[in-house]
Amino acid sequence: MNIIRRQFKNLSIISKNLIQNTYCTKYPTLPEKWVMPIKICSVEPQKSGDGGIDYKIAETDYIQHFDKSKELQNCNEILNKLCSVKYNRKKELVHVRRIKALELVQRHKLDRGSMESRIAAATVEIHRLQEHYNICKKDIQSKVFLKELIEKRRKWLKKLRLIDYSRFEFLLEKLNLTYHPPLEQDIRLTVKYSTKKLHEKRCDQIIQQKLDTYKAELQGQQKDFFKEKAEKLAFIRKEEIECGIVPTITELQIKEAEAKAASFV
Amino acid sequence: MAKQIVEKVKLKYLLGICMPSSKTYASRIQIPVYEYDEYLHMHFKKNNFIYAHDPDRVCKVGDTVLVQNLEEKLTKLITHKVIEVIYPVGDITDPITGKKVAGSVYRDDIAEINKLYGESENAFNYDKAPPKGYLEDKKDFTQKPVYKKYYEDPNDPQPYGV
Repeated sequence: MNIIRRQFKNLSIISKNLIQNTYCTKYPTLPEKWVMPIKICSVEPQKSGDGGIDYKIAETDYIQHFDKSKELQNCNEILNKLCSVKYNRKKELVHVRRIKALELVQRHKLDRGSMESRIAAATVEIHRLQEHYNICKKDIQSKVFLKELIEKRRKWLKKLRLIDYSRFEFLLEKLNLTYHPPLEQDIRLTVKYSTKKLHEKRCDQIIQQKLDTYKAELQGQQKDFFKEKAEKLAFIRKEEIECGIVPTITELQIKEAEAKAASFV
Repeated sequence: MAKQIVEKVKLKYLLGICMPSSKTYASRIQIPVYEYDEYLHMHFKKNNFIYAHDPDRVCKVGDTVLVQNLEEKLTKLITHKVIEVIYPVGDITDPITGKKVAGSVYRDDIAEINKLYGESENAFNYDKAPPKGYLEDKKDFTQKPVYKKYYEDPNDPQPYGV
């Protein structure tokens, strides 16, 4: 029994040596300790891709439909305040915001059905709901509506990209949005998966570094190589002419090699 | 003695859709194939993925592309090469009339309708628009595959990490 055990020990040592010679068993060490990324709610602007729009609305601006009245302009301050955005409910402010956002992208004054105006109106609503979500996080009903609206807008953007690419880009710029396509496969993050990926990334970096240094080394040798090439080509041409054979090398080839050697200073 | 017969590779043309790929000089192309199920006696759609050599990055994600197989493999992955972009994504011309199309409507028709209502100043104009793809890697992250963020580093911004 003891003999078999000793044999086993030897076998394990041999196999370990074999593996070390053939495969990379030790990964390169990582510079920092891995930390799990913080989970961000899908409703928040970082995930939904909202950069925010500058609506340019002052507190003294009138609410919807009141801005065109001439009688209000001659009235006293108290009446003006009552019709302003500041002293009204938030819904009135959102109405004004919607008009401003639609003006950025609308085709004409009555346009509400085109893809641009639909997306613009949705973004205004999303901004309102995101502000509401920051105040009361337990309002699940509005959170669900917000998530559905974000996904609906993403679907519209995906559709618009296929139909009309330049209009899609115009919208992203005007409404300050970022667009990410959906994930191909959703993976549950684990320590094993993420450390493996990080090691792979580090290995790739090391390989790239070595390749770059080797490339630089080869490029350094190019000057002498082309100089030697031009000399040897000229020598072969001269010998062939002296022997009475039709030369295989043209003068153009020699000149090209000389010009390449001169280009490396 | 059995002779070694070297068979010539038959060159085939294939039509596919360009998908996001992380390679710099090759694009990933999706080719649909209908497989026959002997048990159910029905055809089912299956997507095959190939890598096509594309040094100038001609095709964008979503384009319908014509590819051809190579006589010899360039690498273990790259087996085809891109020949032509047939339908560029979001910029299609109607083959019968030769007019530009946005979805199921001609672009000229949209412009005419806008004129009747009174076109607004901020409305999108095709003539003044910058070249296609100017927001790549800034706001439009569709050209490379998107992944789930698995680490965080303030010095390393990950635009394609979700």
